[in-house]
Amino acid sequence: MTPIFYTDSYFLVNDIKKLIAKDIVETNDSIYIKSPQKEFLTYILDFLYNKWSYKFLSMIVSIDEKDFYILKYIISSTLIFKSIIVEIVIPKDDPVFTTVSMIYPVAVIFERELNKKYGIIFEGNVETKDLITKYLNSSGEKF
Amino acid sequence: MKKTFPLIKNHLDPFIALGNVSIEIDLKNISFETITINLDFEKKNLNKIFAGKNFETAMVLIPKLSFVQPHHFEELFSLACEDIFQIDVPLKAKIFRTILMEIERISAHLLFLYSISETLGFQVFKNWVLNDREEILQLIRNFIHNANELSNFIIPGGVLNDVLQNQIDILTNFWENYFNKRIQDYEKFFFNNIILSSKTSGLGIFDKEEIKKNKATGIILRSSGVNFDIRKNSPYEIYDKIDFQPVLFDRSDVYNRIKSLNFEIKNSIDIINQSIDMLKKVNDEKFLVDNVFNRDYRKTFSFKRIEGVNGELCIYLEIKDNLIKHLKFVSSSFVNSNLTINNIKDSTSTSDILTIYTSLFIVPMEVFI
Repeated sequence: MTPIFYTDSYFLVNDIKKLIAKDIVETNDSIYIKSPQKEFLTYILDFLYNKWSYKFLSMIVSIDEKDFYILKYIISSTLIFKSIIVEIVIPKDDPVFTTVSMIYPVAVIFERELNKKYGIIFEGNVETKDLITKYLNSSGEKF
Repeated sequence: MKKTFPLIKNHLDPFIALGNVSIEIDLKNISFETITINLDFEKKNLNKIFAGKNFETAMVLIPKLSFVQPHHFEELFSLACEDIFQIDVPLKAKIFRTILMEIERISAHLLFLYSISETLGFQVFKNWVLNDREEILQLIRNFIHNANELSNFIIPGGVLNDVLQNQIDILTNFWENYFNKRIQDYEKFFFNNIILSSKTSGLGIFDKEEIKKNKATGIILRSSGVNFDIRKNSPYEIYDKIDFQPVLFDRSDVYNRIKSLNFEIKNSIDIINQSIDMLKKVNDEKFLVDNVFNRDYRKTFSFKRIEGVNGELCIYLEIKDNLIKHLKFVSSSFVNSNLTINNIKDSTSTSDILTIYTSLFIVPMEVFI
C-alpha cells in the first residue's frame, strides 16, 4: 500500500491551534510552537506522535541564555513535509526536566549529550542517574 | 567481564590528532550483552567554535567537518542561510549542487565498500574501490578548479564558480567509458560473489520496527523495506524534477545493506545524467546571488534536513545581529553508533561485530558534531 503524503498542513495547524497552543508560526517547511508551560511538552509530543504520525525526533537543541536554557525539540514525519519545532524554557537554577524517551527512544542519547554539555537533568533517563544523585546531595533535598 | 578492543588506533597523542575509536563489549561467556562504541576522543563542542563567528568564516570551516561528505555539510549550511535571508537560488546553481552531491555520494559509497571489503578479506576488490574513489575525487577537484576537495563550492546564494562545458564532458566521458563497465566488474567480482553472500547473509539483522523506533535513516531504513528518502519525500534543489526509485529490501541484514550500495551508486549515476540533460536546457547563465548576508532577514532560525550519504543530515542554525548564535548538526552516524549497534541479536558471534559495525556506515568524526 502506498503511503498518503499530506502536502497541505492546514488541518494540522488548525488542530494544534485548537488543542494545544495558539502561539504558532508557520513557514514554508516548518511549524514553530512555543509551549506556554514546560509541562505541556510531553502532551504536545504525544499528540503529534499518535495523531499526526510525527514519529521521528530529529534533534534536541539547547540554547544557553543568561538565566535559562531554551530547549527546542524538532520532530519530523514520513507523511507530512513540514517539521515541527516545539520550544520550552528551563531555568538555570533548577535545570531539571522530564525525559521524552517513552515517546521517542532516540531521545535517550540526545538527552545524555545535553546532560554532559549543560548539566540538564532528565528525570526518567537512566543515563543521567548519577547526576541526579549529585544534584540531590548538593541541594540537600531528600527522596 | 568488560573487554575493550581498539577499532581505529592512533599512534599520536589523542589530544593532538583525532581518530581514537574503540569498541567496549560486555562479555558473558562467548556471547555478549552490550556493545558500546567509545568515541570520547572524537568529541568537540562545535557550538563553541562557531558561536559569534560571521558567515564568511563559518563557510570556510564547514566543509572541514567531514572528509566523507564535506559538500553535503556545505549544502545544509547554505540551505539554512538561504532560508533565513529568503534567497531564491538560480536553477543552474541548483543543478551543479545536485551533480556535485551525487558524485560525492558515489565516492562515499566506495569508501564504505572499501571498509567492508577490508573487513571481509576481499583484498583485490579493496584496492579497486580505493583506486576508483581517487578518480572520482579528481572529478570533484575538477569541479572546484583543482582546489582541495575540502574547499568551498556550494555557498549561500549559489555556487562559487561556473562549471564549463569541457568539465561536464569529462564527467560524462568518465561514466560512459569507464565507470559503467567498472560497476559490472564489481557485480561479478563482489556483489554477486557466493563468498560474500555466504559470509554476510542473515548476519546482523535489524528488526524493521526497532529501526523505525530508533530513528535510523538512509540505507539502513530502506534496506528494511521502509520507503523513505528525503530526496523524494521532502525534496530540495532539483530532486523533485528527477525520476528515480529508492532501493528497498525485505530485511536489513549485512548482505542487503552491502547490496543496496550497488543500487544506490547506479541511482546516483542516473540522477547525474538526468541533471546534465536538464543543464542543457537552462538558458540563464546566472549561478550566484550577490550580497547574501547584507539583506534583511525575516526569521532568526532555520531547521533543514537533507539526505546525506548514510542517512538523514540535519542542521539547526540561529543568528543574532548577522552573526551565528547557535549551530548544530546531527548526522545518522550519531544514532547508528549509539543506538542501532546495540540492537544486534545475542546469538551474534563477537568476531562478526566488526563486519556489522562497517555495514552501519558510521563516520567517526560525524558522530559528535
